[in-house]
Amino acid sequence: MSNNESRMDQDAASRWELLPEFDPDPALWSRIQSRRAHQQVRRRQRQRWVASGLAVAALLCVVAVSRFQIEQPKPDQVAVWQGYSQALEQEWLAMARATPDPRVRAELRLIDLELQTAYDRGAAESELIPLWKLRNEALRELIDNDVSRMRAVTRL
Amino acid sequence: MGADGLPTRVNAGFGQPLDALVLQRAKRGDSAAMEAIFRLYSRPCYNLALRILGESAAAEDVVQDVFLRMMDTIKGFRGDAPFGAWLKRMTANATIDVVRRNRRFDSDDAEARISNIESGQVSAESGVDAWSLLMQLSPRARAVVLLHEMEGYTHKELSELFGQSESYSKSVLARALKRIGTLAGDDEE
Repeated sequence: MSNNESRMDQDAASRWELLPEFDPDPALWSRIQSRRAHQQVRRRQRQRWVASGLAVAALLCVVAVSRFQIEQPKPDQVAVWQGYSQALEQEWLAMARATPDPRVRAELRLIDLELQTAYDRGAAESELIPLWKLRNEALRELIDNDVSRMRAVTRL
Repeated sequence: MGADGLPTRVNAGFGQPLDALVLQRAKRGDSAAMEAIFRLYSRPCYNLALRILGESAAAEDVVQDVFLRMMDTIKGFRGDAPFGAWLKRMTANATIDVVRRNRRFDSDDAEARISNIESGQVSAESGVDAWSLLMQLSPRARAVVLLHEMEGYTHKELSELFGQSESYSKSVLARALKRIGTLAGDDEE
Protein backbone atom coordinates (compact mmCIF):
# COMPACT_ATOMS: atom_id res chain seq x y z
CA MET A 1 0.00 0.00 0.00
CA SER A 2 1.50 3.37 -0.96
CA ASN A 3 1.82 6.23 1.50
CA ASN A 4 -0.82 8.11 -0.42
CA GLU A 5 -3.30 5.20 -0.22
CA SER A 6 -2.56 4.70 3.44
CA ARG A 7 -3.26 8.36 4.12
CA MET A 8 -6.51 8.13 2.16
CA ASP A 9 -7.59 5.16 4.30
CA GLN A 10 -6.84 7.09 7.45
CA ASP A 11 -8.73 10.09 6.14
CA ALA A 12 -11.69 7.88 5.24
CA ALA A 13 -11.58 6.27 8.67
CA SER A 14 -11.61 9.58 10.47
CA ARG A 15 -14.39 10.76 8.13
CA TRP A 16 -16.75 7.92 9.15
CA GLU A 17 -15.98 8.57 12.79
CA LEU A 18 -17.27 12.08 12.24
CA LEU A 19 -20.64 10.83 11.07
CA PRO A 20 -23.30 12.36 13.28
CA GLU A 21 -25.25 10.15 15.66
CA PHE A 22 -28.97 10.57 16.10
CA ASP A 23 -31.38 9.36 18.73
CA PRO A 24 -34.52 7.52 17.72
CA ASP A 25 -37.92 8.89 18.65
CA PRO A 26 -38.31 8.59 22.47
CA ALA A 27 -41.77 7.12 21.89
CA LEU A 28 -40.34 4.26 19.83
CA TRP A 29 -40.15 1.83 22.76
CA SER A 30 -43.79 2.37 23.67
CA ARG A 31 -44.71 1.80 20.01
CA ILE A 32 -42.73 -1.42 20.01
CA GLN A 33 -44.41 -2.55 23.23
CA SER A 34 -47.81 -1.76 21.80
CA ARG A 35 -47.03 -3.65 18.62
CA ARG A 36 -45.71 -6.55 20.67
CA ALA A 37 -48.88 -6.68 22.74
CA HIS A 38 -50.94 -6.65 19.56
CA GLN A 39 -48.83 -9.46 18.11
CA GLN A 40 -49.24 -11.53 21.26
CA VAL A 41 -53.01 -11.08 21.23
CA ARG A 42 -53.13 -12.16 17.59
CA ARG A 43 -50.83 -15.09 18.33
CA ARG A 44 -53.04 -16.21 21.23
CA GLN A 45 -56.12 -15.90 19.03
CA ARG A 46 -54.42 -17.97 16.34
CA GLN A 47 -53.42 -20.57 18.93
CA ARG A 48 -56.99 -20.67 20.21
CA TRP A 49 -58.28 -21.18 16.66
CA VAL A 50 -55.76 -23.92 16.04
CA ALA A 51 -56.61 -25.59 19.36
CA SER A 52 -60.34 -25.37 18.57
CA GLY A 53 -59.74 -26.78 15.11
CA LEU A 54 -57.72 -29.65 16.53
CA ALA A 55 -60.40 -30.35 19.14
CA VAL A 56 -63.12 -30.44 16.48
CA ALA A 57 -60.96 -32.67 14.28
CA ALA A 58 -60.30 -35.00 17.22
CA LEU A 59 -64.03 -35.13 18.01
CA LEU A 60 -64.84 -35.92 14.38
CA CYS A 61 -62.23 -38.66 14.42
CA VAL A 62 -63.72 -40.19 17.57
CA VAL A 63 -67.23 -40.08 16.08
CA ALA A 64 -66.05 -41.54 12.79
CA VAL A 65 -64.12 -44.33 14.50
CA SER A 66 -67.01 -45.21 16.80
CA ARG A 67 -69.47 -45.24 13.86
CA PHE A 68 -67.07 -47.38 11.89
CA GLN A 69 -66.79 -49.80 14.79
CA ILE A 70 -70.60 -50.02 15.19
CA GLU A 71 -71.13 -50.67 11.51
CA GLN A 72 -68.50 -53.36 11.33
CA PRO A 73 -69.82 -56.92 11.87
CA LYS A 74 -68.38 -58.56 14.90
CA PRO A 75 -65.53 -60.76 13.73
CA ASP A 76 -66.60 -63.57 16.02
CA GLN A 77 -70.28 -63.45 15.12
CA VAL A 78 -70.21 -66.82 13.32
CA ALA A 79 -68.36 -68.26 16.25
CA VAL A 80 -71.04 -66.89 18.59
CA TRP A 81 -73.83 -68.49 16.59
CA GLN A 82 -71.80 -71.68 16.29
CA GLY A 83 -71.19 -71.80 20.03
CA TYR A 84 -74.87 -71.17 20.69
CA SER A 85 -75.73 -74.00 18.32
CA GLN A 86 -73.40 -76.38 20.11
CA ALA A 87 -74.94 -75.43 23.42
CA LEU A 88 -78.44 -76.11 22.07
CA GLU A 89 -77.27 -79.42 20.68
CA GLN A 90 -75.85 -80.42 24.07
CA GLU A 91 -79.10 -79.43 25.70
CA TRP A 92 -81.10 -81.42 23.21
CA LEU A 93 -78.91 -84.52 23.57
CA ALA A 94 -79.15 -84.29 27.31
CA MET A 95 -82.88 -84.47 27.17
CA ALA A 96 -84.26 -87.85 28.14
CA ARG A 97 -86.64 -88.07 25.26
CA ALA A 98 -84.02 -87.94 22.60
CA THR A 99 -85.98 -89.91 20.09
CA PRO A 100 -86.87 -87.20 17.67
CA ASP A 101 -88.93 -87.38 14.65
CA PRO A 102 -86.79 -88.85 11.82
CA ARG A 103 -87.89 -85.95 9.68
CA VAL A 104 -86.29 -83.54 12.16
CA ARG A 105 -83.01 -85.44 12.12
CA ALA A 106 -83.14 -85.32 8.33
CA GLU A 107 -83.63 -81.54 8.43
CA LEU A 108 -80.70 -81.12 10.79
CA ARG A 109 -78.53 -83.24 8.54
CA LEU A 110 -79.66 -81.16 5.57
CA ILE A 111 -78.69 -77.91 7.34
CA ASP A 112 -75.35 -79.40 8.42
CA LEU A 113 -74.71 -80.41 4.83
CA GLU A 114 -75.49 -76.89 3.65
CA LEU A 115 -73.14 -75.49 6.28
CA GLN A 116 -70.36 -77.88 5.31
CA THR A 117 -70.77 -76.99 1.63
CA ALA A 118 -70.71 -73.29 2.49
CA TYR A 119 -67.53 -73.68 4.56
CA ASP A 120 -65.90 -75.77 1.82
CA ARG A 121 -66.33 -73.05 -0.77
CA GLY A 122 -65.17 -70.36 1.67
CA ALA A 123 -68.55 -68.69 2.00
CA ALA A 124 -68.79 -65.29 3.66
CA GLU A 125 -70.15 -64.73 7.15
CA SER A 126 -73.25 -63.19 5.64
CA GLU A 127 -74.06 -66.63 4.19
CA LEU A 128 -72.93 -68.71 7.16
CA ILE A 129 -74.76 -66.84 9.87
CA PRO A 130 -78.28 -67.44 8.48
CA LEU A 131 -77.48 -71.14 8.23
CA TRP A 132 -76.30 -71.23 11.83
CA LYS A 133 -79.44 -69.35 12.85
CA LEU A 134 -81.53 -71.89 10.96
CA ARG A 135 -79.74 -74.73 12.70
CA ASN A 136 -80.31 -73.10 16.06
CA GLU A 137 -83.98 -72.64 15.34
CA ALA A 138 -84.25 -76.29 14.39
CA LEU A 139 -82.57 -77.34 17.59
CA ARG A 140 -84.76 -75.03 19.62
CA GLU A 141 -87.81 -76.59 17.99
CA LEU A 142 -86.51 -80.02 18.86
CA ILE A 143 -86.00 -79.01 22.44
CA ASP A 144 -89.42 -77.43 22.63
CA ASN A 145 -90.88 -80.30 20.64
CA ASP A 146 -92.70 -77.85 18.47
CA VAL A 147 -93.30 -79.85 15.34
CA SER A 148 -95.35 -77.14 13.67
CA ARG A 149 -92.33 -74.80 13.54
CA MET A 150 -90.18 -77.63 12.18
CA ARG A 151 -92.12 -77.45 8.97
CA ALA A 152 -90.62 -74.06 8.33
CA VAL A 153 -87.18 -75.56 8.66
CA THR A 154 -88.03 -78.29 6.16
CA ARG A 155 -88.64 -75.63 3.54
CA LEU A 156 -84.88 -75.08 3.27
CA MET B 1 -6.17 -3.54 9.62
CA GLY B 2 -8.35 -6.34 8.31
CA ALA B 3 -7.20 -9.28 6.26
CA ASP B 4 -7.81 -7.33 3.07
CA GLY B 5 -5.69 -4.40 4.19
CA LEU B 6 -8.64 -2.19 5.03
CA PRO B 7 -9.09 -0.71 8.46
CA THR B 8 -11.39 -2.61 10.81
CA ARG B 9 -13.30 -0.74 13.45
CA VAL B 10 -15.85 -1.80 15.98
CA ASN B 11 -18.90 0.33 16.52
CA ALA B 12 -18.81 1.24 20.21
CA GLY B 13 -22.61 1.21 20.32
CA PHE B 14 -23.00 -2.41 19.35
CA GLY B 15 -19.78 -3.19 21.20
CA GLN B 16 -21.27 -2.34 24.57
CA PRO B 17 -21.44 -5.41 26.77
CA LEU B 18 -24.80 -6.65 28.00
CA ASP B 19 -25.12 -7.52 31.66
CA ALA B 20 -25.54 -11.30 32.06
CA LEU B 21 -28.34 -10.85 34.57
CA VAL B 22 -30.26 -8.58 32.20
CA LEU B 23 -29.82 -11.16 29.46
CA GLN B 24 -31.12 -13.95 31.70
CA ARG B 25 -34.13 -11.87 32.70
CA ALA B 26 -34.83 -10.96 29.09
CA LYS B 27 -34.68 -14.64 28.14
CA ARG B 28 -37.40 -15.23 30.72
CA GLY B 29 -39.51 -12.58 29.00
CA ASP B 30 -38.97 -9.83 31.57
CA SER B 31 -40.19 -6.64 29.89
CA ALA B 32 -38.01 -4.37 32.06
CA ALA B 33 -34.94 -6.29 30.87
CA MET B 34 -36.14 -5.96 27.29
CA GLU B 35 -36.43 -2.24 27.78
CA ALA B 36 -32.93 -2.10 29.24
CA ILE B 37 -31.63 -3.82 26.11
CA PHE B 38 -33.53 -1.33 23.98
CA ARG B 39 -32.03 1.60 25.91
CA LEU B 40 -28.56 0.15 25.38
CA TYR B 41 -28.71 -0.77 21.70
CA SER B 42 -31.51 1.17 20.05
CA ARG B 43 -29.21 4.09 19.20
CA PRO B 44 -26.57 2.14 17.25
CA CYS B 45 -29.33 0.10 15.68
CA TYR B 46 -31.17 3.25 14.59
CA ASN B 47 -28.02 4.96 13.33
CA LEU B 48 -26.91 2.00 11.24
CA ALA B 49 -30.33 1.78 9.61
CA LEU B 50 -30.56 5.56 9.18
CA ARG B 51 -27.14 5.83 7.56
CA ILE B 52 -28.04 3.15 5.03
CA LEU B 53 -31.64 4.10 4.36
CA GLY B 54 -31.29 7.84 4.81
CA GLU B 55 -34.83 8.16 6.18
CA SER B 56 -35.75 8.47 9.82
CA ALA B 57 -39.15 6.78 9.52
CA ALA B 58 -37.73 3.84 7.61
CA ALA B 59 -34.89 3.51 10.15
CA GLU B 60 -37.37 3.49 13.04
CA ASP B 61 -39.34 0.77 11.29
CA VAL B 62 -36.16 -1.28 11.09
CA VAL B 63 -35.46 -0.74 14.81
CA GLN B 64 -39.01 -1.80 15.60
CA ASP B 65 -38.71 -4.95 13.50
CA VAL B 66 -35.33 -5.80 14.97
CA PHE B 67 -36.47 -5.48 18.57
CA LEU B 68 -39.70 -7.37 17.95
CA ARG B 69 -37.66 -10.15 16.37
CA MET B 70 -35.14 -9.98 19.19
CA MET B 71 -37.91 -10.44 21.77
CA ASP B 72 -39.16 -13.48 19.87
CA THR B 73 -35.75 -15.10 19.45
CA ILE B 74 -33.75 -14.08 22.51
CA LYS B 75 -34.57 -17.39 24.21
CA GLY B 76 -32.52 -19.08 21.50
CA PHE B 77 -29.53 -16.75 21.90
CA ARG B 78 -26.70 -19.07 22.95
CA GLY B 79 -24.05 -16.45 23.52
CA ASP B 80 -21.63 -17.80 20.91
CA ALA B 81 -21.04 -14.18 19.86
CA PRO B 82 -21.44 -10.99 21.90
CA PHE B 83 -25.05 -9.88 22.17
CA GLY B 84 -24.31 -6.60 20.40
CA ALA B 85 -22.79 -8.43 17.43
CA TRP B 86 -25.89 -10.63 17.24
CA LEU B 87 -28.14 -7.58 17.28
CA LYS B 88 -25.96 -5.78 14.74
CA ARG B 89 -26.31 -8.69 12.35
CA MET B 90 -30.08 -8.64 12.82
CA THR B 91 -30.08 -4.91 12.14
CA ALA B 92 -27.94 -5.24 9.02
CA ASN B 93 -30.12 -8.07 7.72
CA ALA B 94 -33.34 -6.17 8.40
CA THR B 95 -31.99 -3.04 6.76
CA ILE B 96 -30.76 -4.87 3.67
CA ASP B 97 -34.16 -6.58 3.49
CA VAL B 98 -35.78 -3.13 3.32
CA VAL B 99 -33.35 -2.06 0.61
CA ARG B 100 -34.06 -5.18 -1.42
CA ARG B 101 -37.83 -5.11 -0.94
CA ASN B 102 -38.39 -1.45 -1.61
CA ARG B 103 -37.72 -0.11 -5.09
CA ARG B 104 -37.34 3.33 -3.61
CA PHE B 105 -34.20 2.15 -1.85
CA ASP B 106 -33.14 -0.51 -4.30
CA SER B 107 -32.72 1.60 -7.40
CA ASP B 108 -29.18 0.34 -7.60
CA ASP B 109 -27.92 3.49 -9.17
CA ALA B 110 -24.62 3.56 -7.34
CA GLU B 111 -22.93 3.82 -10.67
CA ALA B 112 -25.05 6.79 -11.66
CA ARG B 113 -24.59 8.48 -8.32
CA ILE B 114 -20.85 7.91 -8.42
CA SER B 115 -20.81 9.25 -11.96
CA ASN B 116 -22.63 12.32 -10.70
CA ILE B 117 -19.94 12.79 -8.12
CA GLU B 118 -17.31 12.32 -10.81
CA SER B 119 -18.94 14.89 -13.04
CA GLY B 120 -18.94 17.41 -10.23
CA GLN B 121 -22.70 17.67 -9.73
CA VAL B 122 -22.16 17.55 -5.98
CA SER B 123 -20.61 20.64 -4.61
CA ALA B 124 -17.26 20.44 -2.88
CA GLU B 125 -18.78 22.21 0.09
CA SER B 126 -21.33 19.47 0.70
CA GLY B 127 -18.68 16.87 0.04
CA VAL B 128 -16.74 18.02 3.07
CA ASP B 129 -19.55 16.84 5.27
CA ALA B 130 -19.28 13.08 5.82
CA TRP B 131 -23.03 12.72 6.07
CA SER B 132 -23.63 14.61 2.85
CA LEU B 133 -20.98 12.56 1.11
CA LEU B 134 -22.53 9.34 2.31
CA MET B 135 -25.97 10.42 1.16
CA GLN B 136 -24.64 10.86 -2.36
CA LEU B 137 -24.38 7.09 -2.62
CA SER B 138 -27.22 4.68 -3.23
CA PRO B 139 -28.52 2.81 -0.17
CA ARG B 140 -26.79 -0.34 -1.41
CA ALA B 141 -23.47 1.44 -1.79
CA ARG B 142 -23.93 3.11 1.60
CA ALA B 143 -24.58 -0.30 3.13
CA VAL B 144 -21.42 -1.72 1.60
CA VAL B 145 -19.32 1.25 2.71
CA LEU B 146 -20.68 1.41 6.25
CA LEU B 147 -20.80 -2.29 6.96
CA HIS B 148 -17.30 -2.80 5.64
CA GLU B 149 -15.65 0.37 6.88
CA MET B 150 -17.40 0.87 10.21
CA GLU B 151 -18.82 -2.47 11.22
CA GLY B 152 -15.97 -4.68 10.07
CA TYR B 153 -17.90 -6.86 7.66
CA THR B 154 -15.77 -8.87 5.25
CA HIS B 155 -16.53 -8.99 1.54
CA LYS B 156 -17.57 -12.62 1.98
CA GLU B 157 -20.15 -11.58 4.59
CA LEU B 158 -21.32 -8.73 2.40
CA SER B 159 -21.70 -11.03 -0.59
CA GLU B 160 -23.90 -13.33 1.49
CA LEU B 161 -25.90 -10.41 2.79
CA PHE B 162 -26.62 -9.04 -0.67
CA GLY B 163 -26.79 -12.34 -2.50
CA GLN B 164 -24.07 -11.11 -4.84
CA SER B 165 -20.50 -12.09 -5.58
CA GLU B 166 -17.62 -10.82 -3.51
CA SER B 167 -16.33 -8.89 -6.51
CA TYR B 168 -19.62 -6.95 -6.52
CA SER B 169 -19.11 -5.51 -3.04
CA LYS B 170 -15.40 -5.01 -3.67
CA SER B 171 -16.17 -3.06 -6.81
CA VAL B 172 -18.90 -0.93 -5.20
CA LEU B 173 -16.73 -0.22 -2.18
CA ALA B 174 -13.61 0.66 -4.14
CA ARG B 175 -15.41 3.00 -6.48
CA ALA B 176 -17.45 4.63 -3.74
CA LEU B 177 -14.44 5.26 -1.54
CA LYS B 178 -12.33 6.53 -4.39
CA ARG B 179 -14.93 8.96 -5.61
CA ILE B 180 -15.82 10.15 -2.14
CA GLY B 181 -12.13 10.68 -1.51
CA THR B 182 -11.85 12.59 -4.75
CA LEU B 183 -14.85 14.73 -3.94
CA ALA B 184 -13.56 15.46 -0.45
CA GLY B 185 -10.18 16.36 -1.89
CA ASP B 186 -8.31 13.62 -0.03
CA ASP B 187 -5.85 13.15 -2.88
CA GLU B 188 -5.23 16.80 -3.50
CA GLU B 189 -1.63 17.68 -3.06
